[in-house]
Amino acid sequence: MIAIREISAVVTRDLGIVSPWLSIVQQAEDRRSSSPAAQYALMAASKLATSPTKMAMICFSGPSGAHISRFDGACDSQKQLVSDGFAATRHRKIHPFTLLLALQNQVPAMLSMQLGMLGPCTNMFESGTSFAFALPLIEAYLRGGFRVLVVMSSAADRLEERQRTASFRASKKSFEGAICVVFDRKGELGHIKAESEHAEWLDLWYDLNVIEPVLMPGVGLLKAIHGKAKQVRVGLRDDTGFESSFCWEAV
Amino acid sequence: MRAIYLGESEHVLPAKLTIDDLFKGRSGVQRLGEQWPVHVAGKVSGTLPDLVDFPFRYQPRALQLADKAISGMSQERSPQCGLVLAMSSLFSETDYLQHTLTHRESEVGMREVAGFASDHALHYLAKRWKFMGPRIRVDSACASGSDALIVASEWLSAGLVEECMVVAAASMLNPVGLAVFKNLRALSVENDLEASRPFDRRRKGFVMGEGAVALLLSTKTKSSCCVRGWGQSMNAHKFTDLPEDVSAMKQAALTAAGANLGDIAYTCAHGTGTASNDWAETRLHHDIHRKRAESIPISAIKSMTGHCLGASSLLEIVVTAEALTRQQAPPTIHLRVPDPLCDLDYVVDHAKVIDGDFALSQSFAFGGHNSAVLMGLA
Repeated sequence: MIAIREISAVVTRDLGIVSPWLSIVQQAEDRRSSSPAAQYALMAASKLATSPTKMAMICFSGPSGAHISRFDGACDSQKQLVSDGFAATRHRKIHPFTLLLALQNQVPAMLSMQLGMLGPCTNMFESGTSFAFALPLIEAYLRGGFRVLVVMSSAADRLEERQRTASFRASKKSFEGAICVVFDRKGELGHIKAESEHAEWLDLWYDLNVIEPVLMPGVGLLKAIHGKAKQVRVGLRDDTGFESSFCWEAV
Repeated sequence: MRAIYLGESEHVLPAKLTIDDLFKGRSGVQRLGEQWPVHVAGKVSGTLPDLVDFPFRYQPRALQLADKAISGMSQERSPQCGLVLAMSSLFSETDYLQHTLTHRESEVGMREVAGFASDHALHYLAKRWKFMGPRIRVDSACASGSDALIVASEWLSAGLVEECMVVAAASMLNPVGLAVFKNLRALSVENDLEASRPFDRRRKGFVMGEGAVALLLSTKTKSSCCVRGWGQSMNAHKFTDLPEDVSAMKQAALTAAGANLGDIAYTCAHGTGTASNDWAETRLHHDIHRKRAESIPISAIKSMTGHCLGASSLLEIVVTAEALTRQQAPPTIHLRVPDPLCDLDYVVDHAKVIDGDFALSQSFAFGGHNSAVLMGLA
């Protein structure tokens, strides 16, 4: 049994969900040493009633924030980055933290460092459908005696990311934020599993006017918990059209 | 844990190195040339084939490496085979970055590099090679390959799949990738083909490598070697440095080893060739094995390949399995001046006979991820 003990979410747009666990926040700034996605994750984790310090962690990390523009200063006058002078001197204009901000595991790293989390951790790359396939890992961490903090985070609704995804996500507005879900053996907020016989279908791709695939499993859980159905199948979809799903059942 | 057997594996390694070469102490590190921010690296030789039916103009090199590794597999697999891809962010690939810097305001222009964004790499490989089962992409920096194998092992253990392909690929061996690591002072800047020298007092950082590994895991097709356990932890310390106190790293290793700790016959080290790693890993080995520490061989294959980032940890798992099968530990090369703080049996220059059924592979990543996998003879 994978039960939901607690949820905490911070998002930058109104998703039409009324929930005591969901806050709408200002868009986080790009900072030198912590990405907006990491800031959202810390915000959401800090609202949890249960301390995550001793939990295992699974992160689904979307775009972490702007980093392409961090290379502008190293370009030559023709806007060329790797041209004469780059190897000798110009590469030094790239700030050393650029790498750390661009690494996709910045969110679990920041959470571990800031909250003292020492437990097992796996970071998944920019995908919404992956959540459905992480259930065996959540189960394994629970079996190991850990509560499991699942963190979905993304900073996709800013200029650079809109430019990066314009060619395949043009018709949808995006949003940013982080959703933390604490899984345990017991919990009042229902439980999740791969299959459920009579589940009502929830397809967020069509239900919402904004989309960010990485955050969709968490949004789906919030909608399911606050909805009227006893069993909900949350449909997930990635930018390529690949689909998966998982089921939520009320206690 | 259900028996999870290692099936066929394929490797795309620097300078066409093979697994056998790694047991013979051959190096894949080469000189780069004037246009690079550092002098030497473990580069995959030759031109990589274009990705078949890739829908975007620019092709990520890491994806080409992964594709090449899978293309070498001949073992038949079921259509429901799962796919776990270990591949870090592709942001540093030079062509992508240059194109993005100059075309970011054009939707049409950005379509040409869309293959670098979102989850296109994972779904491309699944479609191209007909992996119809579950799929996921793991990114825990240099522990990605090991963590990917852990995810696959849990899928197999839970019965979600009977077969799973684990693919780890990494290429930051380009001018930008090298520059960002150099600016963090993580790379050796020596003009010396022996610059990758883990556990040597003269080491001055790691040497960049690149490559890909594809490994088929199965619960139904038996083989000589199994995944016997795994452990993970976070350091909660700093992004790039390992802590003085290795207790979190120890927790991962002890969890992986379980009841077989006393039977471990070999450890494949993370062994990057940074002082921080060498010292922490040596302390860890002492802490785990205590009186047995100095009698358990430990070696660093990155001395031969350079640091292939997320691919290295899966490569090291394959090498660990091979060490058990051969009953031989691969060598650490270029270790001429031992660091007095590193006082273990590092298997210098030549492979060494081992005697036992279990071996441990360890990985430590930027961000503080620790990942350990115990391999055992079936």
